Amino acid sequence: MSTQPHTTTPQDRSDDEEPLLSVDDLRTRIRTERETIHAVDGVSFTVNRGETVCLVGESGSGKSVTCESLTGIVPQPPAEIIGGTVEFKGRNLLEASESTLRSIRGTEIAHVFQNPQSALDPVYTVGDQLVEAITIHEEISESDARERASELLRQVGIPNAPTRIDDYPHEFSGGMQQRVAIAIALAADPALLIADEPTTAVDVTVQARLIELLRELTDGGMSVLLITHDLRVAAALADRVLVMFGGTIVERGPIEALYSQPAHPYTRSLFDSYDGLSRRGDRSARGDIPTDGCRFRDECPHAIDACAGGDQPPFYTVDDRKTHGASCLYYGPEHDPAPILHDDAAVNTLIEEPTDD
Amino acid sequence: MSEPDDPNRFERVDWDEIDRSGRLHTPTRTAFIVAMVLFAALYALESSNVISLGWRLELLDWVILLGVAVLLSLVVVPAVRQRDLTLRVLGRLVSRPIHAAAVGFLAVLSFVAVVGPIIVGSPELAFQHRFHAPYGFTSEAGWHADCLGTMTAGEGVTRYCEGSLTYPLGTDHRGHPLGHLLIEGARIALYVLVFTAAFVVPLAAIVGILAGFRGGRIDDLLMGYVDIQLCIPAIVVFFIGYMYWNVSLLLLLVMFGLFSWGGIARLVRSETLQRREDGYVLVARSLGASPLYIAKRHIVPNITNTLIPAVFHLLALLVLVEAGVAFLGFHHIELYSWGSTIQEGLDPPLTGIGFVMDPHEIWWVSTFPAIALTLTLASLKLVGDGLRDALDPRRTH
Amino acid sequence: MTDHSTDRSRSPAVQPDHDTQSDAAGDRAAVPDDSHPLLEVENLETHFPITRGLLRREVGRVRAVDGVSFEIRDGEAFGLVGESGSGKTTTALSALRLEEPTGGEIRFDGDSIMSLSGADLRAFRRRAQLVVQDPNEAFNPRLTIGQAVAEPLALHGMDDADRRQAIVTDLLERVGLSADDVDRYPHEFSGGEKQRIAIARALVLNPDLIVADEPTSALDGRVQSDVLALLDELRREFDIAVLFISHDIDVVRRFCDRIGVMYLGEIVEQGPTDEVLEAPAHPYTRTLLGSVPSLDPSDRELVRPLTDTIPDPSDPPSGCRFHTRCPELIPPEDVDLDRELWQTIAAFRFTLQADELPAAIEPDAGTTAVDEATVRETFGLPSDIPDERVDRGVDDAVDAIVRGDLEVARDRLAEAIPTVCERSTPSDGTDCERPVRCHRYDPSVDAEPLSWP
Ligand code: SF4
Ligand code: SF4
Repeated sequence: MSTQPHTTTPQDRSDDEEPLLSVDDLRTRIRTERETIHAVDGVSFTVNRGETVCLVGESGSGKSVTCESLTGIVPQPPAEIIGGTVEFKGRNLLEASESTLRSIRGTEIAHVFQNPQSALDPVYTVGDQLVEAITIHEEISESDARERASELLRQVGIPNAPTRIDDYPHEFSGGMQQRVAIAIALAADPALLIADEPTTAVDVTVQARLIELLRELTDGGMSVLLITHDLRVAAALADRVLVMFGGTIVERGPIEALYSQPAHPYTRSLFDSYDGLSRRGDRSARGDIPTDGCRFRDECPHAIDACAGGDQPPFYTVDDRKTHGASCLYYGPEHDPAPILHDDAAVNTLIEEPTDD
Repeated sequence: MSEPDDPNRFERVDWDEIDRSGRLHTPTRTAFIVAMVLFAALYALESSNVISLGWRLELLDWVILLGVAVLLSLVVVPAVRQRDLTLRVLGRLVSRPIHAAAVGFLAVLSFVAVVGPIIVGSPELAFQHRFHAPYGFTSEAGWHADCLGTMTAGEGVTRYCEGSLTYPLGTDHRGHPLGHLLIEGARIALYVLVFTAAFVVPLAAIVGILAGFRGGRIDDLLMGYVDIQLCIPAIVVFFIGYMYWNVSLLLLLVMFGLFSWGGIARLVRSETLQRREDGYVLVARSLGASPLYIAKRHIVPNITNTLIPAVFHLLALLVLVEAGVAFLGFHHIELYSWGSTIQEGLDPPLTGIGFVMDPHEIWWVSTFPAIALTLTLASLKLVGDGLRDALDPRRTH
Repeated sequence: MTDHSTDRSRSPAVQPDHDTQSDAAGDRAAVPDDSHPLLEVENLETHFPITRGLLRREVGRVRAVDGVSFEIRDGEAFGLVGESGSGKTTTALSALRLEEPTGGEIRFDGDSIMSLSGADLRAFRRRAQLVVQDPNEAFNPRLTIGQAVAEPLALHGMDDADRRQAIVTDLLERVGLSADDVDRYPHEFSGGEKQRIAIARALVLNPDLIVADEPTSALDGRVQSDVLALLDELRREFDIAVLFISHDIDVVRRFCDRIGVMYLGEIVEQGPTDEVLEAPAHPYTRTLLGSVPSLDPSDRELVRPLTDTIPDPSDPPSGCRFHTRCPELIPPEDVDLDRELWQTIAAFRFTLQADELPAAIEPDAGTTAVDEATVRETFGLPSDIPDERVDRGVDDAVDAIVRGDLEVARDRLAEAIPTVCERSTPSDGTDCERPVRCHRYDPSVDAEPLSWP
């Protein structure tokens, strides 16, 4: 197993084109009465046109705050974006005025959340809400807007759109509500859809349909930034994956590379949690995540002294694939990642699971 | 970690030994029974004239005594049993100065209302001392047959009688010292508070919890009744009662009390409906807990966020209603409510003495009870909010 | 805490003379009787009336659980898997008599729990415990967790507060918290910690059965597997049976010995976890498993049922309840079409029936009338079907749609392609080594099980 001495951060993107969104060293902290949490602590990534990028992490890893920071919808206070740049189509969103941001949110970047109820107003029909979403950004007549509204409902796969357009949100099932929420997000034909755990609240058979819907959208050229805790959902949708832990990205790479050889010890423990029961010795698992060095070191079975202090470890390439990087010292020039990669075999057996197709 | 044969490990508990039928004697029940026995004995003695307490207890007093017994067993006994919690809650309650002041005011009010009448007795008529100004102020000399303070020099309307320390807060047209009237008013306010807290609030809570917990027909029935009741203005019922029976504070309490709990019952019901679905209620049911236990331990403590402010609001409202009705004159003539005193201070001609005077010339008669009333209402509101926060462990100060 | 001696940890304090008591539930230290399972559920029915009006006239019934049977042996983990609305939670709550069953029989340790009362009921309440789904509402926010975990002890008559305290601190340490935590309030703990405390509370009465309703579904990733591992370890140490409710295949795979798959109030298939998940027999189980995305990103195929509409549990489909969505629907005996074509036609029929009309043929999807070609294209129907009767039925239905008369189209299809799945209710078939409620496993029905995958 050879590793490239690290020279540059592995490139996320093909160089022939400007990325749609590029985030550099984003930092957001959240102040509560008792403490300040570094929810996002130096996150960088890009999203290209027509690409699905997936942020994977457990609750509290900072993945939602990252995405809410992009368009400034994270509640400030308590949150505060303290650094970095978010470049979308050449504009830095962090320096944009509130009114610019507002017009970008809806028209160019749309959000979909885990809980569709939060996006739908129970006292208006879905038609009213769609028409509202359409007319906010576009000067068109009421009847044209309604026409477009039922078009959108059809696009997201709601049967009998022309009749259902006058129904209230509660008359839809959870899966259908999520489709309506997606339809509203699509109202202004955004270039980027940020979907925060869009399938977590629904059943698997419904999730399967939503996954198909999201695939159709990316086939149509839309970029999707998907947030999920579920490695399976990421596997079904992502082109590239970013694994987050403790406010930092710890591993990044194309989906096939990362799934066939998860490199960072944290990523590997995530994969482990899909198989077998936990082997974590420390049951209480309380205690704060470090805010410097490798954030994972308190739970990492391979941690060494050098893992503490300073910035997070740089991204070293994994297995000579320049797009696959892990922020772990073992992949650096002075170490050999073999102990990590041979730690257990569970990861690879999972992929041939017979029950999954 | 304990030894394997330690009886204090869950798997070493011998449940056959422990299991026995539920206990019937809870301290609350015991306290209530003891209080009831005492109460009955007192009533028997009093009505058979075996002993004399020195003053007659009216029906109203008996009702209030009963209310005190209810409050003792419902509030004081559990509070004492859970001393630590009570002290913690109290500590948190008084941790903000404004809440501490409100609690202090209500404590003083209650103390004065209980002890005051015993010390000062009931006010006597003393027309010769009417309209004395408070200490440090003056009143027109011609009003008094007998000015207790020094007279200022001057002639006719320019002669003033200075207030004296005999009546530090002045007197009204009957020569009643304002201090006495305030104490009497406090007693009436306390009666209203006790009656409401002991009878109206439990009634509302029981109906609300029953409707929310049992649901179905019971819910329909109870809430249907509450809806009807909410449509009937209590004041109309009070006036009907006023036409047929002797006017009394008891009538007012019963009428307004019985017609004012609907809102709280509804509130309690809707909160109960939500709590009923919570996991811990389900777990308690799976453990075989009785509905009464669940209501007491799991539902009531968790609806205090809305219940406590609503209850204190109701308390304040009824104190205000009593004052208002008295202000309008529909009160027992011998009960010196703050409301009636304010009214007398604001309308000198009505007092029928024949002096020509403006209300502002005897400002103290209306102002002092108005201040007392305002402070009481404000304190109730503040204590309600403070208690809600103090009871909630999730709120840190 | 590893007391794996010969002395099993169940109530060793029970002295022999206690066994003379007639209290059936009390003498579990008596001769281990393996002749009956710990929990037997037989034909359980829990229906909820739908009432209307002031008099609460019953106008219908939600058949939340409709004829469910399973059993759990001592120390076994049995999983009920299904989607929302399948009735799995109602089944679990009925098994604890927290919902009143409207039919069937539930026996715990051989005794019907329907008629328990007094001391027997109390003993049952001690021996069967509940862990609820959402850790955030599993605890009364006004009680410290020490009080919460001690509550079962107090409720069951342990008056000695010091002893309660000692038991609780010991137990909290065993689930990975510290003794100092007893005086803290639930909101001071994370979701995973709360669920550990919930497990401690379920354990404190030393139960024989824990009913766990989605105990980890509010947790993700490693916290979820930690809690699962804890529950697994404790149930093995204390030999506790678990009725485990979950919608998450990964979780049941790790935790359960046997599982039952529920759909619309019925268990459609049950058996050892490995067998059911490796070689699912019932078409619904297959649909369910096939809807779970693979961890292999190169395998992105997802199984599609015929229709997406889950029928209303107050009016479940006749015959096999899955027939409106079943990709393996049995064709009429005399019809011999290839599988794919048959699926297409069946999907056509039930899509119309469920009113899931695709955009292209919606009644007022624009001004242009739908033409036959559009309808055929939308449903992927070929212009010629190699079975005369079916072909005619489909032709007529397509014509009816073009005319805008959906009702006729539906009737015509129902008539042209009848299926045994709609006509008769399957029983637990015998063609499989485990109960599978599907006609394909019934030797008397002329249809073979299809292969998987
Ligand atoms: S940098 Fe160190 S602590 Fe972090 S994952 Fe690698 S080995 Fe573990
Ligand atoms: S009986 Fe028919 S409809 Fe039901 S599962 Fe079996 S094949 Fe499918």
